[in-house]
This record gives sequence, C-alpha cells and structure tokens, in this order.
Amino acid sequence: MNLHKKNRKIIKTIGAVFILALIILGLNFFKKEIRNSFYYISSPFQSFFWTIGNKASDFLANSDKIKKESVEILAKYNLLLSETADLKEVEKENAQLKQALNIGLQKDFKLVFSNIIGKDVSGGYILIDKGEKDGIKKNMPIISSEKAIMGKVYEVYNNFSKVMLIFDKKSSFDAVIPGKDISGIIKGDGEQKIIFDLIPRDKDVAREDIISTSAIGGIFPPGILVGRVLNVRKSDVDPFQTIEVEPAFNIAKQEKVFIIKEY
Amino acid sequence: MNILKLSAFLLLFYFLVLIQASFLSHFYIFKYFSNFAFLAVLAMIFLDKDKKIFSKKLLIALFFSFILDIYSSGFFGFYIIITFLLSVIFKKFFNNYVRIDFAQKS
Repeated sequence: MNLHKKNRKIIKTIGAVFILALIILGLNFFKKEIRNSFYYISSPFQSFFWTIGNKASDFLANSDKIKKESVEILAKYNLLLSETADLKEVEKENAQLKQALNIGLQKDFKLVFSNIIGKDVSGGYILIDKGEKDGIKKNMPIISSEKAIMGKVYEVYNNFSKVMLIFDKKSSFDAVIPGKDISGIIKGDGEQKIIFDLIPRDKDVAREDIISTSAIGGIFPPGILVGRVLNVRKSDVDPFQTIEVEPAFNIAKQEKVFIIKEY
Repeated sequence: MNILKLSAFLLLFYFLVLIQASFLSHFYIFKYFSNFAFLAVLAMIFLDKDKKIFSKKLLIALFFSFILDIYSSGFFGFYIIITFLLSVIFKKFFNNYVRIDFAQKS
C-alpha cells in the first residue's frame, strides 16, 4: 500500500515536471510576442525609472555644476577623438586609393534615434524603444550621441529591441589603432570593460592611443570610435599583448542612442 | 493567501523587476548589478514550509521567475528552471538533514 502511494507520488511528480518542461518549451516559441507585450506595457514606467536613475547616479557622483562642465568637456573630447579617428582613417585610405574615384570613409549613416529604457542585470544588454515596426533588424550597429560604438542589435521585437553592448562576453569585433596600422579584436570581458586582443608583442601601443572600428569582419562600419588604451599587458611567454581599453561611452549616463540602419 | 493579497504581491514584485532593470541598473555593488528580485524569489522558496514539492509558494515563485525571464537576456525559462531546482534541493535538504524551526511545517 505504502509502495503504491509512493509510486503514485513519483508518477505525479514526473508528470508535473514534464508539464513544466512543455510550458517552458511553449514559452520559448512565443518569447518574442510575450516579451514585446510586457515591454509595451512597462515601457512608460521603465523610461521614467531610467531617467530617474540617470539623475540619481549623477547626483551621487558629482555636484551639478561640476557634473555639467565635465559632461560637456567629456562630450567635446569624445567628439574630437572620434573626428581624429575618422581623419586618420581617411588619411590612410587616401594614400592607398590614389586613383581619383572619390572613395573615402563613408560618414553619412542613415540613423534612427532611440531611448534606452532598461538594462539586464548581467550588464551586457540594454533595452531600447525601437523595434521591427521601425525598420530595425538584427545586428544593426548602435552608437552613442558622441558617436562612439556601443554595441549591436541582438534581438528584435515588434516595438523594442535588445542591444548587446560591447562589454558582453559574447561581443567581439575587429578594431584598429588608426595611424599606427595596428589591428586586433575587441572583446568584452563581461564586467563593463573591453580588451583589445591579439596584438603582436612587437607592436608599439601606448596609453591614450585611440581605437576605432575596422572594416574587416563587416560587423561595424569602419572609423567609429571605440575607446582609449588604458593599460598594456605584455608577457614573456605570450606572442600577443593584451590591452585594456576604456570605452568611449558611459552606459550609466546614456539615455539616448542611435541605430545605424544603413552605412 | 487570498486573491487580493496575491495580486498586490504580484504587482509589487513586477514593479521591483522594473525598478531593478531601469533604476538600480545605474548602480553597482562591488562592480556587479544587484539582482534583488531573484533574491526575493530565493527567500520565498527558502522559507517555504510545505514539504510537498509543488506547493503554493513554489507556484507563485515560478510565476515570479517567469517575470524575471521576460526581463532577462538569457533563454526563456532559465529562472524558472533554477527556481524549481533550488526549491527541490532546499526541500530535500531541510526534510532529510536539517531541522530549523522556521523551515519546518508546524
């Protein structure tokens, strides 16, 4: 009798687990529609909380006046870095393409403006309020208002999109130090930092060198600012040096982004 | 737990997830973002006194995990599976090896 009861209990438990597995499978089939619906309902609240969060983090970090000045200076500095990276790239391309076909760095992008409304706890993804109905497609690049590369569209819903930031461990793309002709791979380390990897040991990389995206790989348009060299690590046994890069944007202070639809 | 209380609880948890995704994500604790909503789910299953595997509290916790899955970047069902497995482990552990008053059904 006891054995019979125990068997029934086991069968019930297995049945319940099986139903749970079916529910999870079913949810995965409709995850885009489910997520889009919930984001649609919560986006006004999330926009509000995101704006409040920006203001609160600013208030805690700095006093208003100093913060305004430093934000202005930082924005100007990043714009200048971005222009410098562009100019260096153009200089290099002009030297290579002497035949006057007027091919230079394509600067005119078709941009779509979007607001950030949320961020994943893993830190590597943000949610923006533009989606399929706005013509957004997977893998479209995302840049900040200071023209720094932030990431790419990872998942598209009807009204929203999930963006994978360059910090995420799954993110990697080709980059270059313009002017020095040093190219490598930018990888996210999963902790709000990025690494410039696979640079041969004999290449001379200095602190504050600017890094921009490269045309290799075709993930991002070339010449967009990535960041500045923070730290260079060389090892006697490793044929490559590893470079810590400070990204040219601060996600905590970003409210608006641009999606590059065409380039 | 009556319907009104349950609805209020669900709404509160939903807003906690929104606040976590949009407000708390601006702040770091030791370089990491805090996942308070998941901690709340863990507390719920940890304090579940019912010895049955599929108790009412677990079902509520699974629904909360579903909300967490919507606002996460992982695959859909990640938090549901983690919550279920942890609940089973906690119950087995407390039923067979540990006797703590608050975790035992009175």
